[in-house]
Amino acid sequence: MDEQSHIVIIDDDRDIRTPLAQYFRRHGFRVSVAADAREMDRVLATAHVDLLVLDVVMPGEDGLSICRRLQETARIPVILLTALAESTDRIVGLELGADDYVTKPFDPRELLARVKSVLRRSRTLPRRQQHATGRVTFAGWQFDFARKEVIGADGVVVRLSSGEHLLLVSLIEHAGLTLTRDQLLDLTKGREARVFDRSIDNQISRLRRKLEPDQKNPRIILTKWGGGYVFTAEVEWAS
Amino acid sequence: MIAVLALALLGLFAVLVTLEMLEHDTALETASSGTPLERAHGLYTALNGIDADSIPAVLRIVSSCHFGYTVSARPFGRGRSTAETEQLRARLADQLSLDARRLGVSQARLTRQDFSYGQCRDAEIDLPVDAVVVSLQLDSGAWLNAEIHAHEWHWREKLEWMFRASLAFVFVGAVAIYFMRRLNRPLNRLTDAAQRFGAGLQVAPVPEGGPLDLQRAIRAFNEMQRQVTGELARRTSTLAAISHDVRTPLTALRIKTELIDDDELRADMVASIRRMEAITASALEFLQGGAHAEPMRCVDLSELLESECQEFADLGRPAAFTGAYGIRCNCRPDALARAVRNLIDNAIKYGDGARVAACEDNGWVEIVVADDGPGIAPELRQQALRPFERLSQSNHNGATGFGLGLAVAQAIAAGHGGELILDAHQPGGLAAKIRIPAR
Repeated sequence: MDEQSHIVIIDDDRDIRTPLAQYFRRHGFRVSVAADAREMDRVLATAHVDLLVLDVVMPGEDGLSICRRLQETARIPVILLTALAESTDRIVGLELGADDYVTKPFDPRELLARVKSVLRRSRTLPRRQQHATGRVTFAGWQFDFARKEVIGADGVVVRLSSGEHLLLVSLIEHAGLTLTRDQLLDLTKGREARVFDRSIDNQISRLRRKLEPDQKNPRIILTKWGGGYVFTAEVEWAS
Repeated sequence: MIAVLALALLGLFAVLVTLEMLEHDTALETASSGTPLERAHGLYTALNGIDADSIPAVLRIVSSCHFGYTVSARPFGRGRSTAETEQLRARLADQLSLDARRLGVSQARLTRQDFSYGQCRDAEIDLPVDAVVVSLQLDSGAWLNAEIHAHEWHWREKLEWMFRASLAFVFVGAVAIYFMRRLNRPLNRLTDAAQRFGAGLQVAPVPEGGPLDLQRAIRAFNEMQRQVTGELARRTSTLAAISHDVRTPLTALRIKTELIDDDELRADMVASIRRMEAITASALEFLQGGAHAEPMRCVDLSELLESECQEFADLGRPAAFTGAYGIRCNCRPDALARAVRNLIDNAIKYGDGARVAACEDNGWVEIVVADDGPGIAPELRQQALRPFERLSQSNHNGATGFGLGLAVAQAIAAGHGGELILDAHQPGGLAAKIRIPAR
């Protein structure tokens, strides 16, 4: 399973990629390293790769353009290593097709957890829909994936907690698809390896409180028999 | 300033009007002025030239209610002499080139019985009246007596004077106000800009206007703004670059630490590295603290506060939002959230948890983060707000802050045009309040 997974770490800083590779090997992964896009292409050409860990800021071709390029050809799961912080960075990277991101300085244990999570997801869920931007409108709300907030029809900004934000993003990315609680839990494991005390149900009800005009009759997020949720509002993606 | 000027002009006008109203010539003053004396002298000269039989007729023609003339054998005797009358007598003698013995000046109080006043109608004059009588001895030896009384107080004259005076004042006032406003507007702009600059270091060049002196001052101010913000930006970006660049080797260190087999050693090293990461993160946060990277937006403040509390609760840390809901305000949501986060963090670290509330009050919104901890003594509150200041040396609950939380929160509050207030929370503990304008 995981033990067979082949990951490639692409980072121009040897001080990072070498110990990181060692770390992942210790945890049962087969690891290749690349210092830049060219070396990465060589690895991709010669072996089957399950996941890429890609540094964003690199001389030459940077991580974001590599990401864009890959999505057109190989469709391999990508986790980005970014140097930025705060809410503005769910970024471009995710809009370009990356599956997750981790900010430096990061806890290697968290990166490990993310790698496992993305690999798991790529096996059980269909690939996320790719869109040019991460900005959507639904049911009168405007939502930018990069920001932890929704903007109402009257222009008032309603903030979301990190958990609510991740949940909304996951629901919209799989709009129309019923997601089980386990899948949602997996998708929403937060930035600092949070353990959510509250169950997904509580998160959903909080989201509903903020989004639904009538909480008793939800129209945006519906509950499905058998324990799952689906995002049913019509989603319009900005271009 | 314009109000003061207007008030001064009005005051001056009022004083002048009052003085004018109160002005009241005495008989002596009227007598001392030119016109009545010229008339008297003219008549004197004329009477000297005609024969005595014609004199009564002439006198009848010439006399009126205000200028009474009689001719008698002796000079007017019912009056009294004073120092002023003697002075006037001497002056007249000199002016008319008359022997002083042939001249008499006296003051008297004239009644209806006296000479010519019989011709006055009741409405025309107020009897008895103070008068000065000037007696001139004609060539024939008889005396011409000219009665001069005080110039009367006439309503119409006073009103006309007032009208003219008001016009003058209004004109002067208008011109003055026009020039003051020309001065005022750019001066106000300069003052506002200086205040804004002092509060949040916002650079908005002030347009030059007004008199030359003021233009020079404005130019100097704009230059100062440029230079100060330029210098600050240089320093901030240097510090930010340092904090930023430290992150990469820190990351490398972190990864390598994970490869250490000795569990205890690894745990120790990880803890140290975590502290370093926290310092750089704090420093960066502080440096960005007052900066206006975000635009102001209309935000549901209640939901923002609730979300922040939720972030903590999701990690098992005690923070709760108790209301009120539905409060909106104009703010920079990321910055404000960061400020509130710092306050909640403190409340949890030093107290037993954070209770967050919000309320609206007269155009301001107030966010209160309260805890039941030891609080901060009033005399230590100023100190607590300074960066890197920590009031106690020991670690409360294993606290790992670096004394920047309050400083950042204060900078953010100030950047919104508001303030951070540290207050005591009843019955015990700290209530940290952020007050910002709702709009």
